[in-house]
Amino acid sequence: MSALLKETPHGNVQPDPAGAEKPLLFKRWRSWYLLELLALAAVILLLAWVTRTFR
Amino acid sequence: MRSLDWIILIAFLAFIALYGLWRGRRARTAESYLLAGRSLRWYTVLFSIMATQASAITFLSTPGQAYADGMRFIQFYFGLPLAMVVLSITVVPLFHRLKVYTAYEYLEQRFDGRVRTLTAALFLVQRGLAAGLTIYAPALIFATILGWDIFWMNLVFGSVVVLYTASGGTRAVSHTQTVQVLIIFTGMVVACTMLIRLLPAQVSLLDATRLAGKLGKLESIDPSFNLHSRYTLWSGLIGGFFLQLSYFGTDQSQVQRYLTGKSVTQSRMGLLFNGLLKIPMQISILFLGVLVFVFYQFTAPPLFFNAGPVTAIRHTPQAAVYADLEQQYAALHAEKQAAIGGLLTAMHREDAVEEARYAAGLKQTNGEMQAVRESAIDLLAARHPGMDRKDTNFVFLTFLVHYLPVGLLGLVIAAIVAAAMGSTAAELNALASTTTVDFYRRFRRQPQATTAADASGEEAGKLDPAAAQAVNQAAAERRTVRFSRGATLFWGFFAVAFADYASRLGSLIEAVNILGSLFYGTILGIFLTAFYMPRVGGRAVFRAALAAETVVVACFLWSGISFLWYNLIGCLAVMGLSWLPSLSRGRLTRR
Repeated sequence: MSALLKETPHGNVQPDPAGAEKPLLFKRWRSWYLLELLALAAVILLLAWVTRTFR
Repeated sequence: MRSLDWIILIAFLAFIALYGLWRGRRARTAESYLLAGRSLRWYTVLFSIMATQASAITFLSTPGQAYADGMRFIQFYFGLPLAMVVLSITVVPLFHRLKVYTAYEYLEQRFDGRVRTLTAALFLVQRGLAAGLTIYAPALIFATILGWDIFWMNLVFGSVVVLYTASGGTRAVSHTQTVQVLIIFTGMVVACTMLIRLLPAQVSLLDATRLAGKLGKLESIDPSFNLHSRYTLWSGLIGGFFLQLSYFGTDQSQVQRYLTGKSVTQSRMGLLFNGLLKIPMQISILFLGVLVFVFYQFTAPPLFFNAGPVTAIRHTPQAAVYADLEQQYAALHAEKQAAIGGLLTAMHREDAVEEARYAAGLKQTNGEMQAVRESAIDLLAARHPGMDRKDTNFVFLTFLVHYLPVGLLGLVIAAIVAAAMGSTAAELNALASTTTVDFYRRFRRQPQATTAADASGEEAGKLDPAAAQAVNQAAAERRTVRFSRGATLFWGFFAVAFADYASRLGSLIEAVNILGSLFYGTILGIFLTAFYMPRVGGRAVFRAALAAETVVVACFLWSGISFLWYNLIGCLAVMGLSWLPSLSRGRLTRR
């Protein structure tokens, strides 16, 4: 196990075949990350609207 | 609780224990016991992550917080989706590639053994204490309902969890958590449906929401940048981001959940779905508290929700004073019914002027009721020095016990117990893994290896070196699994012992978060230094971590800064103080 730990993010890391797997629904991981950020923004805006409207 | 409630609850407990034992029956190697053989699909990882974070404290304390303070607490979770994205990009592929068992293993290679030991020890202290609080919360339910001794309840819940966690390891924990999350969602839907049905016939869900809004319970976003305000948009986004990054990226109880993923993709999907679902789930739980608040606008609430000190004061000379305060409280509650009726009518007519007038009157009466409540709390506190003046932990519980019908009460309590079991199991599992991998495996005395020459009689001729190595490896795996089981038992009993002291703390969910924030910043700082500051060495980061922890504890004791900021302070202190020696070294080199 410790031999496997010899790699660090700053060393010569080998490309990881598992990391090349496709995500669900989208073709690229970037779309998922964008979806997360948009969902967060939507929730904050919705709650801000609720705060103002039902005050 | 009636017989049917008991049957549902006991059947659930028995099912979870047996299901856990059955699921974990084949855990014989360290990898299968500690990481479920790295074989789980994303939805099991997701449910496991959710069940680990959502403890019974979440369901007992969060609605009570919304009842007392509105929905502001939701801002605490705003950093979570951001943290999920960062972790998916950085930590998940790294940990998968290195095939680590714990997050702290990585630190030994990057820095040295001392940093790994310090970080793992900080985790053990923080998580060991938090596990005690996680066990205490459901025990509180039963102690309040049945009047049983809280220590024995801690012991009963702790024992059931320890039974299947010690026996089946991570596989048992992750699969039982999937069932537990489904029970939790069912319990939430049942509680919400019952709350809506229990409102007066003329009050719709929209009316209830508008009424809550008029009384300030829907104020969810506070955009002010106030360091002393506990929950603001910015403390949630910035402080919350660092807290969640630290919790999911460096806390073994969560890292272990996604290390069980079959691949990077399975682990990432689990985390990202958690980022999408967590905030809506917390909004739902907070909204339950808001509905309980609306319900108690029409039905008289108890003067103080924690029945323990109230029952005690009835047998003292102050009983008459307390009864008098109860009468005043009830009279004010009856008085405000006319104002609520007027407000609802004005809302239906969309008469803004009348709405404002009735809302102001209602707020004033609620203020007067609060003043009476404060007098009652003063009276109780004078009789019970050291008593928790907050009763938020008892609000939802009191509602459930008094107003849920037979059968449904058992189901909702089973959901709360499910949440307690899921998070406790994950915590004990992670504590045992860290104890085993970061301490036992490194510091144990190596037993003498079996060689071909050691074997006697007939075996001597048969055992070649490769077979001897396999025998040794199998024996080492068995020892590791055996030790992990022992460590789970140890941490289970430690948590139960600490749970006995938990009743002296304030709001449980805040206590857990404050406790986490005291350590998370430092731990996160160590990891971020490891990832992004390649020039910093082990000695510098070790000293910086000790100094940063001192700074955080000093802030907690003397500064009055809201606890969410401790994560940022601790993290930046570690990174900054680690960086200083390398900076001065660089200047000397240039000279």
